[in-house]
Amino acid sequence: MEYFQITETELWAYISKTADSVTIQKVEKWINSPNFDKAFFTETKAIYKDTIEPNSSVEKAKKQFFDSVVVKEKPKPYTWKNIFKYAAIFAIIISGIYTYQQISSKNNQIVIQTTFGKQKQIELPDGSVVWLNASSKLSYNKESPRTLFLEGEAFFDVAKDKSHPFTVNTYDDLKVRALGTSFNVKSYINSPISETKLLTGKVEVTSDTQFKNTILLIPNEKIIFYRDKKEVVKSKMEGNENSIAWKEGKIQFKNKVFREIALDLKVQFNIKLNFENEQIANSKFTGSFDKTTPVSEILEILKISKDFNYELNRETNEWLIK
Amino acid sequence: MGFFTYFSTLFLEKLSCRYLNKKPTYKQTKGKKFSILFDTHYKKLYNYAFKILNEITDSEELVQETFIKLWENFENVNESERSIESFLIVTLKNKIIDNYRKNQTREKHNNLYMLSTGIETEIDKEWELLQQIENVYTSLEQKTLDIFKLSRDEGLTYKEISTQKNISIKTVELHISKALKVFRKRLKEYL
Repeated sequence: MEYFQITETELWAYISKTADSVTIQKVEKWINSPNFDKAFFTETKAIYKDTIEPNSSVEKAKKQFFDSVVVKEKPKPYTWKNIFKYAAIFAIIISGIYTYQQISSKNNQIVIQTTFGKQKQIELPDGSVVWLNASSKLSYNKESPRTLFLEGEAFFDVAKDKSHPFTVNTYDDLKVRALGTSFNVKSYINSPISETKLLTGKVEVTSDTQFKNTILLIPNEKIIFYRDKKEVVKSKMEGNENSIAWKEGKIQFKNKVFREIALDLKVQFNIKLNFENEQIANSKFTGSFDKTTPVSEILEILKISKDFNYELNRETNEWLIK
Repeated sequence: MGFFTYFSTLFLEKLSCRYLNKKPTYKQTKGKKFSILFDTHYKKLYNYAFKILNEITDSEELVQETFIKLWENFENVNESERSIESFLIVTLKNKIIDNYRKNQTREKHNNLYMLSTGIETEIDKEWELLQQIENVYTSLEQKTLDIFKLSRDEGLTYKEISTQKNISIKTVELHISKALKVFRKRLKEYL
């Protein structure tokens, strides 16, 4: 009887299926011989089985994972926990600013403000007269009444004082400088544009951040600053534009797109117009209304020239234009 | 001094923007962290699930679900390597058990129900085994480990390894035998 002895490397090669034919024959002979060590064989087989590493693609799994968590995460910003988090932070900031304003108003800060549909006429310490349109805010320091900050729309009739330039700073960092002039500045926060119209005299419009040039206006000229494109466009005022309509209690628009008219109406009536129909939102209207005209009547009149429908949601006080 | 109202509005807008924008950047870092966690843990967890389930789709799915659970609970998990690993493995173990029970009920309905040894102990033992194998790998000399892996994972013959590594077949056999001895010693109770 032959005596068989095999090495563990021979057995490993056999079990891991990497053995050559000579080794395979040898191991198989050993298995069928009385020298077969069953424990040794099963142990080696177990090592082989336990060290298996199935093919897996980490990258594929990762991609699958991120695809699913992104979808899952989406509603998260709206959870109450998050809302409270932001709300708390805002509350802190706002209360901080409020206190700050309280203090600053003691320090000669003068703020004049109007709400929806209200206007104010103010005489400044230097003799200049300001008409403040609805939803606007004008502020200045007592010590420098010719440097003003405007949010919204105002008409200025500036008292002559060559040694002290009269400057209006807007929310979007435009500076409108004037000597003795009358001009209108319109710069509402939620509007895409800032507009300066000059009636008499001379003004200079500059900005430290928005554009480099200094723009000079002569009477009956206006400039419009487009906030998104940071573009300034100067043009001649048309026909009746030089009578600043709002000052006379009128809502007036000439060849103005409906979307912009909606902004004017918002300022006057505190109402919101939502457009379902893009074509209508971009179509132009010309008209002049008295401020006491109800919104429904204005819309009814506009409806005559263009085909659209409107609807008031009484809960939200929003008008839907279809 | 008159600028406060004006600047406070500006400031508020900027700040709110910045704060609201902070969410994506936060998410990005969380995403980065998870990318790293995948690199370090995925393979091991997948191997583990596969060894027990012997099935690709279920294994992949359970490991995915495990990572998703970590993502959802990430804020509550201590970010140390240790606690993350134990969160992952505990979650995966539970998922494997759930999956097993589900399949078991299914088999019951198919009249194929068999008595089984406690899955929980089996599962724990399998994890210990995996840890032991990992320990063996780390205790091996780098060269021995490389050669063993070429044989085990790549299925190369001793001759092929000797050519690739530019060493004699005898040396290859020596390394293989060394690795096997360590396995035999360390895995005694599992073999």
